Amino acid sequence: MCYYNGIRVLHSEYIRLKSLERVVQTLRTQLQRSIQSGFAYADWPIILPINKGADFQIDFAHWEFIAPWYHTFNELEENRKKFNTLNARGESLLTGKLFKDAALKRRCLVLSSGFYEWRHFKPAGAKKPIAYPYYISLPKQEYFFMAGIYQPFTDRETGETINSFAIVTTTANSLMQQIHNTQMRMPVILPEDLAWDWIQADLSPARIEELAKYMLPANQMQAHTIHKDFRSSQLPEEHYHYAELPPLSY
Amino acid sequence: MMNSKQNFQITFIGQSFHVDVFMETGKPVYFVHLSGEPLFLTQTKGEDGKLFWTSVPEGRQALAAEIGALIEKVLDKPKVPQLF
Repeated sequence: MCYYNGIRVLHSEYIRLKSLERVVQTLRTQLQRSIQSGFAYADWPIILPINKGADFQIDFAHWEFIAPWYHTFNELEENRKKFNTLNARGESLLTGKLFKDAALKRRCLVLSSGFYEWRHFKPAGAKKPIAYPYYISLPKQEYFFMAGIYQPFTDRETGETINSFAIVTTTANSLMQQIHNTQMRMPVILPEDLAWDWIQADLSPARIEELAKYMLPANQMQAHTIHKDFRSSQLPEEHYHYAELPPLSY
Repeated sequence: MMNSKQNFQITFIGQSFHVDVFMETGKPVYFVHLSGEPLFLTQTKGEDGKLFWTSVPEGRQALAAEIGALIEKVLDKPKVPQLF
């Protein structure tokens, strides 16, 4: 017999509750951070392979790939305006200098329950296009995996060591072309079997390139408009209707 | 991985709070979006065989009992919570 929250419970229930604690502990941070702008440069849960991909662990990492040539966080912040490393283009992952080593050796998965993107549309009478926010998720999937690459970083002044990461992006599918209609890009969202492949240590460069360009079919995604003040809302994913906005075609 | 999400609202100390329901290890877990620290709670069976509400992780038993009772009232109503 064991105690849970001060009340005696059966051993089997105790095991279930302790197992549940692990699930809650892993997910609560992400659940609380349903809105996370990459530009907050905060930590985010990622899945890192261990034992050459035979198993994995969940860790928190800095969302912004920190180039190996930076020595300190101060140096990083000073140079941040020059280029954005929140995302890494899948098509050039192995051809560019910045991401190649990580793509070959340090691939990870980024946990997500959905993401936000802006659709630009010019309503009748408006002088210029207006940005309308959308929440994009996968039907019947509480969480899904985005392809990521990570890079350890040690600040040489403070000694602080962290993992940083970028989300791999690909060409927008037909749904995302309508929403992210200025950039025509979307994250590489991997189904479970491909996600498992992505973190395997023995992946060939050809397979890495193939997965890094994977475009989830539009019919496996769903999207709806949300309020423009969603960042400060208790229910940011709640549907909000804009009468002037034509519906998306699936 | 949690799945089977449903949701509804409860009223607690005069305020409305959103509750998400997840199925985990075959039983529902409730995630209450309290304005301060959110609360996860579930029902479990005590030594006496009776069900009781508990926070997950441990440490917020009184609150879990109070909010659990409110959730029971919602679930007892003859309506199906909104399904995603």
